[in-house]
Amino acid sequence: MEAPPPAITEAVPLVTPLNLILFSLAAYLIYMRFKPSPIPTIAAPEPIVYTTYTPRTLAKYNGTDDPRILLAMKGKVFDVSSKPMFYGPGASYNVFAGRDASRGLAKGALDPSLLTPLDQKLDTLEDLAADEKETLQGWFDQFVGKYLVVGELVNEGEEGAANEKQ
Amino acid sequence: MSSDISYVTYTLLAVVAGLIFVPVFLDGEPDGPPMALLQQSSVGPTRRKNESAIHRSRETPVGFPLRQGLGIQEGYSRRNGDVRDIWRVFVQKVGHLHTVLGNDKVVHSIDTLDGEIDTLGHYFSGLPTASQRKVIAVYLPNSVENLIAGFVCAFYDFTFVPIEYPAEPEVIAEKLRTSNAEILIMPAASLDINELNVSSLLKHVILVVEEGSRHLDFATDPDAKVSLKEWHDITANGQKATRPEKIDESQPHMIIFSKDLKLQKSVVVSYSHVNIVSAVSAQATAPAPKDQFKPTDVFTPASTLADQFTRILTYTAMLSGCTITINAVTPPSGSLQSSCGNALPSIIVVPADSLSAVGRSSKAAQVELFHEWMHIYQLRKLTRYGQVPQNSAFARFNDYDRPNLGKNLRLIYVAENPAEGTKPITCNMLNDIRAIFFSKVVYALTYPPAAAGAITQTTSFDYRPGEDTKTFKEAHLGAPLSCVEVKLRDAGEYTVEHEDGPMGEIIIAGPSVTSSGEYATGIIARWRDDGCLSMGSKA
Repeated sequence: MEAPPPAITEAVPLVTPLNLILFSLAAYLIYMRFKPSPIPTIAAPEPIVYTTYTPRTLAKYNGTDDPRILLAMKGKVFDVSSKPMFYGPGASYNVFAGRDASRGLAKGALDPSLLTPLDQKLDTLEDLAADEKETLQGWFDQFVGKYLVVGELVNEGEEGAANEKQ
Repeated sequence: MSSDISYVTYTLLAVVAGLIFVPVFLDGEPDGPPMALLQQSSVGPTRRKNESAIHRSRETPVGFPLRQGLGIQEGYSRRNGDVRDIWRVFVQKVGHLHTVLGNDKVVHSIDTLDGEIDTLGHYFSGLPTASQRKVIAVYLPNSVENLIAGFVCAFYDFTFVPIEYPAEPEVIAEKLRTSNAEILIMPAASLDINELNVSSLLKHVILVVEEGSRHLDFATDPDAKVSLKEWHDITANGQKATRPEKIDESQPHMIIFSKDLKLQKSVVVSYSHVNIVSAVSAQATAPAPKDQFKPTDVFTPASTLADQFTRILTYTAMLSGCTITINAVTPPSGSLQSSCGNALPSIIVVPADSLSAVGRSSKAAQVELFHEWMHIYQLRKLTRYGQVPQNSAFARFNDYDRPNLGKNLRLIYVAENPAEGTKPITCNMLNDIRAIFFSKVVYALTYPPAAAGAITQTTSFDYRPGEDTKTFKEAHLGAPLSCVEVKLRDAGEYTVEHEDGPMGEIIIAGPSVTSSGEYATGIIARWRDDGCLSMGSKA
């Protein structure tokens, strides 16, 4: 009887490309589980400072000199930058940008002659008819719902008093 | 190529597959949506020059009305309600009221208590007092009588003055004097009454006698200069009055004693019905829907009911129809374990200093390596997976010295009160406490002179770890409640344009605030990027 030839035991190949790939994948997964994760936060947008404007300081926010477009109505200043298609340069309501729009809106006219000149006192709007006042209030309520009130419009030289009041 | 695949390859394959699929089944859901923590308040789009933007709860964003009252449905309309409605809803929802006496539990009949409100109301209404509006001081430990006295005052339109128990006679006399109370409810034989009425207007005293001592007569004292009556005598033999339809909501309902930080002296603060119910309803909706008070909950005030925050939370629990379990023992005079161990509560209120003391002593008792590993695992569960660790036999194996408040505990309320100078609890300390009690913790900012209830409080599932350095430990107090709006105003070196974020003095307004309009608290704080209020400055 001849002894069977001893079985040839092949050495187990330990370092093969496949094993290396699997090992690095396992290491990566373990690392991902223990990796410290930074805690994110979503900061709120920087709030706009409520400012007191005079006709002169307001005038530059007409969309041409300054990208911000502001508009005043009944002593309040609204930020209408979000709607440049209405108030931007060349748009239909651009006459009101940077100006006190009260009289124009009350009369429903886009006539620049209705705007108070910059060097005059603020329009008191006392001579408006009842229905014009109503129209203006309608515009005002619509603006309050739609745009941010970012300040007040006062006569020149009264900024200090308005700031005190706050 | 085929010879390359050996058992090593198969093992590695199994490990990779396990690492991918096991977490899918075992990790579970976080307790709340993590995205909700990124920005926790509704921030106003504009601000005044020397002030920060207004911060509000996300429930009542800027531009919407603040939460006013309970919103009791009546036909097709809702009304704000007052403190009386809390009791009415409690009765309607069939809430339970228990008292824990040592190892025994007394279950009170709500119908009997409802009747007691009327007999006591009749008795108090008949007492002759100098002032038009009756002021009733209540010097009692946490008890059913203490709660009921509050509702008697609500239904019969008296002013309610809870006084912290126990206290020195001089302190009580001082509080009676400053609140002009003529009627006092107190435990029998706990004070020498003749010592009290020397400096105060005190005329009538109602004595609460415990059941075992009722055969003794406490009401006849020949030396007494005030009229004496026993509580159980009134409720057993007294006549029932009919509740007045209307109460005067402009008058103060509750008077509490606190310290004003700006004036640096003790002040008497009065809360109206509106203050209290707006604080209660804001508190009821503040936690995530999953964590809100439910009729199945057992609520235990482990803090004195003379503390307004504790009382408001108790009212919130009553409004939700919870079972209220009351124990006369409360921290700091008794231990937390003895205060609510036998009640098996699911929601508790604990004084801040007592809770942080328990947290510290329990942490120090974790001496074995096993405890340390367990704690690290639990903290990882909290901060990484957003889950409160579960109370299991494994977690409690070879347990260390920590209070065992039962398996049901799920929510701990704790309030920072700058008027009393409580020490702030940092984010990491709160996480330790969560791991120690296997419970969520809500950390609130209260300032009794300014507002009823809490001003801001943390979200119930906010377990984000604090990034502590050697000199700075991170702590925050969460976002405003839905009944207040909070902003900061420049104060000295603390300005809203500070590089570390808007800082300044806390200014609050809203229906729970004691003054109409704005209230300047004199407390310096900072807004974090996530809309939470922080009392520490960034170092």
